[in-house]
Amino acid sequence: MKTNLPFKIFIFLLFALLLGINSNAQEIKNYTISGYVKDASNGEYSIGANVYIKELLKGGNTNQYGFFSITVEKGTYTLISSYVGYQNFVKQIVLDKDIRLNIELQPMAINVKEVEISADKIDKNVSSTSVGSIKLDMEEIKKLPAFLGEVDILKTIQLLPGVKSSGDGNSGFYVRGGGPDQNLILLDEAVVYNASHLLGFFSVFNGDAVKSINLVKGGMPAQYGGRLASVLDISMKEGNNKTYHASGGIGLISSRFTIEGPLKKDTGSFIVSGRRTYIDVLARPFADPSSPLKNSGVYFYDLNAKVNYRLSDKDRVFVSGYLGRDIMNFQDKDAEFKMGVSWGNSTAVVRWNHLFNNKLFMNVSAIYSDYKFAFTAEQSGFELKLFSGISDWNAKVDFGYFPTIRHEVKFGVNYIFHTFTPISATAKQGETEFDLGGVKKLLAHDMAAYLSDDFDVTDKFKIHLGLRYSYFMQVGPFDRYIKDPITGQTASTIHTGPNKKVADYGGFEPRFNARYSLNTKSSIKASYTYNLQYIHLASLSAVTLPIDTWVPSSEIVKPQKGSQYSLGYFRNFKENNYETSVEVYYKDFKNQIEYSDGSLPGGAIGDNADNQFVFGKGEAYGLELFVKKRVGKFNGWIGYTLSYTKRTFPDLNRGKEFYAKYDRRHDASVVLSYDLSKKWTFAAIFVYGTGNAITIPTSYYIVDGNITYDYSERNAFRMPAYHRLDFSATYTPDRTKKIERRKKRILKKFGLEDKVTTEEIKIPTRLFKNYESSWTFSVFNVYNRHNPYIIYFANEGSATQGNLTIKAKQVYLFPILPSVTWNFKF
Amino acid sequence: MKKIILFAAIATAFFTACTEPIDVQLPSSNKKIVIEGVIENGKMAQVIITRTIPLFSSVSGSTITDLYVLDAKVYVSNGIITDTLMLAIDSFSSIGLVYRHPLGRPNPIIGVSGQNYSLRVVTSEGNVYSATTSIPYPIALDSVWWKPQPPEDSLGFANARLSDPVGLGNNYRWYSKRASKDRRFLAPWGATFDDKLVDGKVFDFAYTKAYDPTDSANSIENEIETERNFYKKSDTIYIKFCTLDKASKDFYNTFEAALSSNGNPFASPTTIIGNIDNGGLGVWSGMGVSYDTILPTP
Repeated sequence: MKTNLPFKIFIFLLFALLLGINSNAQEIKNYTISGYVKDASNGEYSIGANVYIKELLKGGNTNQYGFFSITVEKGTYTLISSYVGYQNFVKQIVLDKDIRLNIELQPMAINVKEVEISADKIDKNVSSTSVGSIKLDMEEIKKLPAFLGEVDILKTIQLLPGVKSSGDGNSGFYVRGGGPDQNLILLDEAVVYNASHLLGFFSVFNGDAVKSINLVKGGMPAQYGGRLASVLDISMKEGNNKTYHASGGIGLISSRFTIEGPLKKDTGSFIVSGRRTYIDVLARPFADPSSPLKNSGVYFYDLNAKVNYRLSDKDRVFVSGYLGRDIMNFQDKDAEFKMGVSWGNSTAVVRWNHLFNNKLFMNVSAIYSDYKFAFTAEQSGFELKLFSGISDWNAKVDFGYFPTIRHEVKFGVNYIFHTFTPISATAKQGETEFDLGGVKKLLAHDMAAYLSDDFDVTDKFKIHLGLRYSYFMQVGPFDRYIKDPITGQTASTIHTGPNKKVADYGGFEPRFNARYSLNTKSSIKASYTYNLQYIHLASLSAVTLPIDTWVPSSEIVKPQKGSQYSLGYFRNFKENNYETSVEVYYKDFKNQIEYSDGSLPGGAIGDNADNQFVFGKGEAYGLELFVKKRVGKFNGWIGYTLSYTKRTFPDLNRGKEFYAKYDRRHDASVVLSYDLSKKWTFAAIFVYGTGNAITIPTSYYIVDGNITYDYSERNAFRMPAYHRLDFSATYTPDRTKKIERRKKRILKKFGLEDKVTTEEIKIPTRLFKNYESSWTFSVFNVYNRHNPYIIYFANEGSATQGNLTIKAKQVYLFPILPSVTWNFKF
Repeated sequence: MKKIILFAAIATAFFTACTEPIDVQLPSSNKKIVIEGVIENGKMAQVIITRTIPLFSSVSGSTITDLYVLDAKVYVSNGIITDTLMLAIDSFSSIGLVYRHPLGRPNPIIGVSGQNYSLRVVTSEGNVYSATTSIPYPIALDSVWWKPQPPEDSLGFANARLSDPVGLGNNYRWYSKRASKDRRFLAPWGATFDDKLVDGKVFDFAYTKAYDPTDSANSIENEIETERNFYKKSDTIYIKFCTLDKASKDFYNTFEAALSSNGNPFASPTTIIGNIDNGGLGVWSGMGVSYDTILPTP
């Protein structure tokens, strides 16, 4: 990026601010109150809980590890901590020295009338500088109807404005006109490269192991980078550090089991959670022995594990990991043809939190993250193996510095070593080994440093000023195949030795968010962000597939660049019970990637993957409306997005601008849930989205006697609109009444009704007493809408015989689908 | 790669339970000219010229004349002389009508390996389409044979051994024709390949039987389903093995991919890369041809 004048001003501002922090700090005698906020019932840290001084109407949110720090003048204050779903914590404090305070929030029992949130409190929706950032709690998500009873985070975030689903059978999502590869998906800070199971029917995140999710779709803060469109930051549960619990669920297609408990009470805890689908196991006994199904199957499993331990008041250690695999096997009855496909992610994260003092928080992370795809096929002595993947070693140091109540400073560095395995193949026919180019791994260094400040300039005006510098270098060993333009064959090869530079790129990424409060109930927010993305995923097929491979920036592939401008008006009603917002955004993208026309699958084998790519630019703009009722028996939200997403590639569509596949004019979702009683909770979801823009045949012609299609301009056709209604009901039986009834039956059986009262019977184990269960009944696609997955054209007859007819057909995946899941916890 | 397609086919089969017809409003389209011209070593050029037809109009008596371009002026040149081709009926061609050197007229252009040929087509509307190609030197197969496909013993595939010359850039296309059964030489699925992965190697490969898309639906249905992709032990099989230049290979490769991607949910439309200019579809292809025969296996 060229250093231009606005950029210099920006740097100047940033440093001026930071210098200002110090001078402020020296003038006045200030004291700090700091500590952690956690859930009193299980010791889980609360992420993003509000902690504020009532008298000043100022404060902050806990960070990702539940830590807060507030520095104010000496005095007597009322400290309040609030968090959705919990009772407010209120405490009088006399601040004449630095105070350490660990806050435990009591969960709000269902149907207990909400404790009124103090009316003079400014709500986070209105007060924070974050534009286009949404946090969801797992409990909120679990209430909603789920496809085949599988709670799915990715499906839930697609109900938010600005986030679009890619339709049934696709876990990929699109944020404000960005592609699926432009979303940074983090699970406990580790990158998850492919977030879908079973070709996208389910996401890889097991709801039982997840604590909260934070989605950033605009105004990306400087601590995040590497992707253009969004960050989905998912935090795993830490495990109950007070008592042991097991929970799980048995559903139609999968079962889950989670166990958690203290390693040492209030000091350390663990959680292990697993999940496996079993449709393959269930179907096998019913399969005809002669059918291929007998020896074929599709399933996935995943496993999450995490431990954390408090070493001292200042040090905590977290170790977490994820392993997931999808397996597909196919074998015909004589085992003449065998095929296997497997893919999956694994991550491992070690983190160390350290408090240098009550104003300076540090987290050090070492992260490993890996995605693998493998395909094997065997027939009559011919063996083919295909594989691809990406793995990262990642080290991070992040600091949080809270100098005064007006500033929250974050800074840190990050280094990633990427190993890309582009699609590679080995094949042999009998003894003949084919030369498929071998496995040529690509290596790259990826570094970043950032600095940001959340700064209350005045009581009404708050800004987030951030700057990130990123640098990327692809290194050898690497072979670049130079193509002869006429024969298309490799004319020469340029070899780069180990650790030698192949290509490098770097640049500053300024981030700026501002909020101006009009009053306590409304504010205006604006943001500008500039992002660089150095790794890329181009997809040849119409849907995202596990075979799609990541490629690094190289001499040919330049880093993707994206700018986003957004502006929003936020207003709360009825004492913050209703949150509303209107946001508009404009984005422009450079160096976008697509496959060139006529690219074929496997074309990259024995070649450089990027030799098949073409490059272009894009723009996206839109309007988002959001109304949310946060609390009460009846809650939910309504979101609507009007948007445009366009692409221009000199080498595609004859250079003419075209709509991206996921350009969606209208996108709406309604999410409602209602707690009828202690026993029954109901929820419903309605979604509507303009159909995808696709390319379809407009006419046909004949080559060598075959019917061949001539296609429309790129993405000139709209699929029919997607809409669907889902409904769910959760029934939680009242265990105490049931136990009472059972006791009475036992007394009656033994004729002891007169001699012993039910109270006198003691249930022997604690476990049994605490046993809870619930049934979730859900109906997916209530009115049986046939939403097209794909449209294709079938021809019958022959053109030369004069009886040819061509008909359009649609494939839809899911008719109305009822399901039931039994969940338990003890 | 065939296996991947099979995998996709299995996945497709899984979904087809939920398939239904829909009404589709097609985006507008213009009529385009389609040229399918071939010149082989030792033979005269043959050019088929047709038009694109709107997708939902069925071919019947009236539209059949929309399909054929009967009044184009077609010129082939070897750089020295230019030959004017004329429309003729040819029952051995895919759709029965081709432009070629008229019988009885002297000085035809006969294809010679290593030479370049240009094609020029002028339609009655005055649009001009042109293309150039070259005929590569033919590369003969080492041997060809029929091999049963277990568990069958009388059904099998056509096998061949090829010694690919050292040096990249050899492109091949395979055609076959069963004696007294097939009307013309037919290309099976995946008939086009290059030596990117097999440069300089001696290797064996096999092809399934091709079937003629222009056969009437009845004759295809009459064939026993399980035998459709096999050659019989008793078949006499003529093999036509061709070398192509890159433009022709790109055309046939993308054409074959396009055929297999029709109706495949995992494939996006494959753009067929032709070598005709001025927005014309199709190919003008030079082919270096060598022939082999597989005799019935005793």
